[in-house]
Amino acid sequence: MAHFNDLPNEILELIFNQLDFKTRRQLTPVCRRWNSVLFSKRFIDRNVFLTIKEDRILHSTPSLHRKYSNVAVRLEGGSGKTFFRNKIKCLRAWLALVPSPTGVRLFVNRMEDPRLVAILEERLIDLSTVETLYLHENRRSITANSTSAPLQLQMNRLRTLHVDVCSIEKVRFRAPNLREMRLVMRSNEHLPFLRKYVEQLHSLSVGFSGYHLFNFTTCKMNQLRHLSINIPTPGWRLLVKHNFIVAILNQCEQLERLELSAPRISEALLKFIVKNQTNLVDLRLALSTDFIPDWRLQEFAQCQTILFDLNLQQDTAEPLCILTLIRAERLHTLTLHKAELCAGNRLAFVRRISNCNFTRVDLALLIKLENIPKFIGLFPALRCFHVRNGLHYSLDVEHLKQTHPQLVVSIEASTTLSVWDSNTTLLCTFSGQG
Amino acid sequence: MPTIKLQSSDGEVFDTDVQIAKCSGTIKTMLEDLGMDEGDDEVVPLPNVNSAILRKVLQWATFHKDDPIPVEDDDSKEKRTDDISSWDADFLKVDQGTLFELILAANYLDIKGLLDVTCKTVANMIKGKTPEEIRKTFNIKNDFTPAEEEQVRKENEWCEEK
Repeated sequence: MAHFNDLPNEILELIFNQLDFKTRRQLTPVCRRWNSVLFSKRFIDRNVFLTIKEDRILHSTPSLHRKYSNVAVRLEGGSGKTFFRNKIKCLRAWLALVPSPTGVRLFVNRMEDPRLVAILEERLIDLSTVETLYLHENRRSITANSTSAPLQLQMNRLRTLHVDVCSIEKVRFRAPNLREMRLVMRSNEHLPFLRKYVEQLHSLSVGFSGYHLFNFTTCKMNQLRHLSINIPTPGWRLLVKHNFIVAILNQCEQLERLELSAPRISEALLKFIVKNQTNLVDLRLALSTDFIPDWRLQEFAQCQTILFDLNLQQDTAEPLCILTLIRAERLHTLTLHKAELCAGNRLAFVRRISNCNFTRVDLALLIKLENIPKFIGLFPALRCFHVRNGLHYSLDVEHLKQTHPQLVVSIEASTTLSVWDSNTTLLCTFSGQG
Repeated sequence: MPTIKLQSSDGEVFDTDVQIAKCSGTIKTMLEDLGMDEGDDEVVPLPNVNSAILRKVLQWATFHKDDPIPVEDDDSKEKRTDDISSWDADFLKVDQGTLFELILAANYLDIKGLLDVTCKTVANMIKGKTPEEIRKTFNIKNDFTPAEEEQVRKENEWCEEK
């Protein structure tokens, strides 16, 4: 009879990969075999960052013997004033554990932090091997003029860059292979920075904080395949915002995936997107809307994946959005967060949806469609049905399991909260028991 | 419907629908590379799979023959192990030995869907357990000395998730 440890290492990795990091951490003491897989070079390179925090530099020397290929340096406490020259030695000793990093994350309070300058200028981290760099400055605005010269970083293998800093002019990259960038546009200095790299990018995610308008007309983004725009501030007037988004979209003609995260956009903008972005197959909209547009999915007939995240600030009893699904025949993934489906009889056209993911859909609205099994019957190719925030629905689910044994059904009874996470410039969803 | 013959390690021959057999990347490649045509009376030997397991695998493949082709996993996708269909959950209510043999067979035959769902099932058995409980569940011997175990726990503190 086969035993767990008869499985080859690759399969152990597959199993461990299904688990989150916290659980995986619990597994290393199980036995030598598990430990060796979880600490194998391959697994560590893919999944683990060595974390170096301030207090570790000040109070301890590394007692580890393993080498890592990803490192996170967090220098967020204090301003570096308590940092003495001899502590560089400790920092160097720590960073020696990461001789040729591929992933680096740097978190500082301000870019002028002498420790950061030391790391970058004295090459305590070997930048020539880094493929992914993440630079985060806590400070939200520049107060005093600093005269220090900008840092010049030669990074030939850099492919992915995440920048969320105020003092963008303090750092200059030479990165001929940069293809993916996430940038938080915090001031007008960020546009020249973006312009410098935008022509070589395949994937760009821009977040706007505060009320800055940028002139994108001189940014040619022909290479761009994936674009993500995040405008969290509600202060922008609708028309201004539209013109702004249109101005950006006019510069990129080859988009395959578009993510828009903005409090409000109108049908007119959506129509513009659908009409002009003919290569688009993946559209993701995260909106908090206080009006009820009537979006017909037939207009997105070219898309294979559509995600609507309609995050409402206040709860209302009103239906939030009406989607009429007609003739979206290429669609295979539809995710609706808090939306009403206006089914009619035309849902029968939607034959290819194989993954249906409803988050915060008010289930009362689904009941209107008589019952879930009947609704599911409208999606012959559906393989995954997931409802978050589902309440009092266990009975129908049991029935569903019998009538559709092939269907993955999961219902979470929890509250969810979507937030704009400035660290990652991504829209994250947190789940918590409510 | 065209069929081919699959032979398990213990010699049993399974007459199988070609479409179903082709769920297995290994068999698909074999058929294409060797130019084995439908209707040939040749037998495909599967020396790594016994008849009991092969029967289960074919049962799974028959039920899932119309599944859409799985797309490449996106790294940004949140990890979840609760997305197992009720049919699969029932299908995998087997003893541990059979489950591991199914994993080995899915790996050898290159059936991604079956490998995914079996690995998820094992992951669910690990979730929420202490190392001691895990050892008990899977009958694994703790081969660390107490000092080594302490060192392992310490090392864990230095890491964060990618």
